[in-house]
Amino acid sequence: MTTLLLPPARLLLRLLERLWLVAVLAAGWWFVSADSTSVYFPALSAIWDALVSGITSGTIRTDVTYSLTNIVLGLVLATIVGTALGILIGELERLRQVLDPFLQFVRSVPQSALIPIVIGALGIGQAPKIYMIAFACVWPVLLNTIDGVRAIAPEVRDMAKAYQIPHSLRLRRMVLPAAMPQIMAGVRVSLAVGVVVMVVSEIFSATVGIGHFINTAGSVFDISAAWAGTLVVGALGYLLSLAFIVVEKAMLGWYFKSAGASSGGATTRTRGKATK
Amino acid sequence: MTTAEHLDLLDERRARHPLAVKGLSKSYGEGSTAVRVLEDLDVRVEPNEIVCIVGPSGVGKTTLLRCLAGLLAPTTGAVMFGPTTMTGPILEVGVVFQDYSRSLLPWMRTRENVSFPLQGKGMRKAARRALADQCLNAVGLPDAGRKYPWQLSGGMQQRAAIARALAYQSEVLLMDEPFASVDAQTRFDLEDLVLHLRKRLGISVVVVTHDIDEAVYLADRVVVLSGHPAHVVDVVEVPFGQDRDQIQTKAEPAFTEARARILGRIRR
Amino acid sequence: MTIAEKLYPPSVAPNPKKPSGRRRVRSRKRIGLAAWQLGTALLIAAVWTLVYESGLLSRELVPPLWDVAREFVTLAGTAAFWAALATTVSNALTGLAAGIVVGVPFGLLLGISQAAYRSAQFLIELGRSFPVIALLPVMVLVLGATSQMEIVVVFSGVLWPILVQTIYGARRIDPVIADTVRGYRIPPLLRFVKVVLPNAAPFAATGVRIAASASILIAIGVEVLSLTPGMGGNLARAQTDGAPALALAYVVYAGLVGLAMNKILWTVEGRALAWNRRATRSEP
Ligand SMILES: Nc1ncnc2c1ncn2[C@@H]1O[C@H](COP(=O)(O)OP(=O)(O)OP(=O)(O)O)[C@@H](O)[C@H]1O
Ligand SMILES: [Mg+2]
Repeated sequence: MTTLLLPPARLLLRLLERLWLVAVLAAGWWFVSADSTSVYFPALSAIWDALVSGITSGTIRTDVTYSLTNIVLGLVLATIVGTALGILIGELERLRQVLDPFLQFVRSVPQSALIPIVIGALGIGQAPKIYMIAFACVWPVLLNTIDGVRAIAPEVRDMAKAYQIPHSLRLRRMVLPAAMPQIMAGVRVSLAVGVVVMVVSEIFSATVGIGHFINTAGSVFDISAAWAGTLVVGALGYLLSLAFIVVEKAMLGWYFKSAGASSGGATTRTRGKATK
Repeated sequence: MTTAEHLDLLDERRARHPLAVKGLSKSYGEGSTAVRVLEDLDVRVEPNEIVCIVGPSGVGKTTLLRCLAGLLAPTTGAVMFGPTTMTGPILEVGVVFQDYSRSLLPWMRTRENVSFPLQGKGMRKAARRALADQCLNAVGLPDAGRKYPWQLSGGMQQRAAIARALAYQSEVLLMDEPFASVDAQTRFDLEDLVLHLRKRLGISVVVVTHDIDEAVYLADRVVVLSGHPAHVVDVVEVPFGQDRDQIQTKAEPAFTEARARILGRIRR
Repeated sequence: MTIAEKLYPPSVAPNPKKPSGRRRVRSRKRIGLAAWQLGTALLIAAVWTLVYESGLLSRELVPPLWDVAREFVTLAGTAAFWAALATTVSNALTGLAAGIVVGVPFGLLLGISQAAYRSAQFLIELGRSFPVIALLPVMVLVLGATSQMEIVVVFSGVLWPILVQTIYGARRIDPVIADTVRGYRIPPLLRFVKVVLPNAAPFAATGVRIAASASILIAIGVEVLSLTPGMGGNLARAQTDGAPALALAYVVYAGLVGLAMNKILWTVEGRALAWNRRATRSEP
């Protein structure tokens, strides 16, 4: 954000500094692969052509729309369910203790192991994929929400009690915002998990989607198209994480600003625990 | 500090009932491992009075204050507000916590923080806002309503916490080491603010502190706790009336005398 | 898979209510808790059976619990299963080791040089948000459905959390310490050994822990998709062969492997870096 305030020359320099390496690598790839005869590593120009034709005349646009719909819906579903359940479990200490071993176990199951079962059982439609993404994404959100709720400072809870804040208001205006930094940390993890599950579910069995695009291209030995699809997935992942940062900034404006303003304002015990 | 004007919404305020503990004992834990912290305490706070509670660290001051606030249930004995026995927090008793940086919510502007408990009481938005602004005025923060707590200094945050307690109908303010984490000058200002609010609004105040000078400067009576389990070892009357001055009052012989007496009781 | 997991082991999670020395009450409470947990387990089993009997969900998804239990026990007696388990774990660990060998030195390098960091930042952001599993179809064509291929994919996934955490640790030096170092004109090499390394170590360790659970996730994902030998391959084959109970038994084992991995890494990390645990945080 400070970059915007810089004079144009400095700004340009900054941009150059950030972009040169990627540009050099891309250029290197372009020229080194220019007269590649390898089937597996086609020339970047060929990949580029495959990408352009995939976008203009092929299915890439529909595929990307399909995949994006799945990941967004799955993630939103997971966030809503995970936050609601997380607040419930975090608020009820006894319930949390009872559920703890189950949560620990389910969380440890590699989500990728469930994909063949769920897809095999529910079919290859869009809904099973969304549920699968939501199911994989719900755990990081849930566990982070629980931790976030439990980390609310005792002073804050005392305050709510002393001022007799009613339940619904307390949950809405106090517990939810206090846990929000950790909830967002969970959503960020979920986003990464979700993109993987999205791709995997489409590779595993689908008739549309960017994962399906790569898979079919690979199975008919259209390697350039497979590489092009892979690059699209990379771009998709990057754009989704950018979008996440925008959302996070919007949701947690107070948090980032207060962290910058003072060491105080810590209404929960250190958000850093999110990864630690 | 700026003298507060237009406090008409607060003018009705006046402590009407004494707050008292009768034969209060408090133990933590249960069964054979219970630890008794407070033993058979009788403390009474008359309307419009300032009572300070002093005692060595760990003696049970916070425990007593939390009982007074209705946040902790006594093991035996009772907390009485006027004629009624308290079973939980009530509207008339407001609490100012020591750690203001935690009890003010960083995602709300200061005005919202002050009016948050009022929202819980179902007050309408316009009324909430007017009352919050007046309370912020009363504590000398007329312009802080739009700022976030973390944009305020420590002293200003503690003022905001006081404003929140005032906004909440409270006739009695309970404060647990309220000025422990602000610098000396701010501390004097806040002490004067408490004296001013008491006079202006006719409220009663209970202040837990470990600073004996502060206790004598603020209090009409100082309650000294000591021992394990803690009991009241002394009650010191301080005869300075409602108007006090940081320099003159502290120079009076009666001040030094009260101070020495309390110190002696705690040391022993 | 980029930033794979955060997550605490149950024992390290903060516990706001600490009862003080009430052992008898506590042990009674613990028995009560165990009873509740047992009850919950029975409830889950009952719901599961009910769903199976009613046919509400496809029986491929919900095989009888008893069958799953039987397969679970039978599996433990077969050599093929243990071979598959060993393959999966060793592939995951090999990829992880490669990730450490590459990620930590590069992370330190990028951490101490501002210019290098700024130049590489965009590349790293691209890399860490890239879902490596998308490489799979291409990799299967290039390397075949082999362990090497699996290791390469795991490596390209686990590299990023290690790299990012190490960079963060090497860059994040307390301003007071930084000033002290500058004030006493500590030479660069000494500074690197005595200040940068110890600072970065706990963060790198966290990166490794995150990467470790990611490595299992990726390894199984690769196997499931490409039918590469290993637990994931067996699981997917069981499913397509119409043996859902066997597939679920594999899932349970996969969960146990994940759980064990987490536990071990937490213990190791905690032992090695106990001095530092309190003082540091890692990047969210
Ligand atoms: N929740 C609790 N469970 C068990 N024991 C407690 C609890 N809270 C306080 N105690 C114990 O009760 C005693 C009194 O604590 P309290 O916090 O009331 O002291 P204090 O006078 O406020 O001390 P300080 O001046 O340090 O704030 C202490 O010995 C403390 O260990
Ligand atoms: Mg105390």
